[in-house]
Amino acid sequence: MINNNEIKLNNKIYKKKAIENAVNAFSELANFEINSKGDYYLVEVEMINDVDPVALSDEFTNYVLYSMKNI
Amino acid sequence: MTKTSENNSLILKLKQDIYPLEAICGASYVFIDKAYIYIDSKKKGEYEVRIKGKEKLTSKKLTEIEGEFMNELLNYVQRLNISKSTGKIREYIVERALYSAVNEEGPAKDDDVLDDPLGIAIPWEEKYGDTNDK
Repeated sequence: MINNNEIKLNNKIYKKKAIENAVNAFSELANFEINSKGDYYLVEVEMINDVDPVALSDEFTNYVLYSMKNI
Repeated sequence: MTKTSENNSLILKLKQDIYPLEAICGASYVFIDKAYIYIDSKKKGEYEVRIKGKEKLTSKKLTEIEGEFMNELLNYVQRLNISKSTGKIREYIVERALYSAVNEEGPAKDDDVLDDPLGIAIPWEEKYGDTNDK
């Protein structure tokens, strides 16, 4: 879920490699920076074009989940 | 399992000791073409799965998706349980099969490669002559 241009992903659930794959896949739509705080990876998102941040966040999270299957 | 629904989405709270993460991820994976899935664990011993429709969904449709998700989850949990309980016997069967195969054929020798009892290793030109003559 996106909040203040930040997607919070629980590090006990989501793998960093999967998040990196999603960052690569969405790199044309936004700039990303992965940080870590407590139990969460915080993915800072800076939109490049006129992209709906909520839609991007939803698609991004689904992509991370998809990517987890192949790691 | 508890459930809340709002804004085209529903949140399922699942106990970790009943539903392992592997099963939740597996079931979620099945639904990524129909819905947006977000998994979290805010409370110890509990996973929170948010299922948000890709299109506007009626409450009836949301309930249907919830039912399908729970069924898929159960399917994964059962699959994991069977996999755990039959793991040793499966390992034993594969081990036994490989062991038998090695025993029957014996170890491969380099000389076997050069044997040509059916005569199929003869080059085409040698067997049928030069085919370039037309």
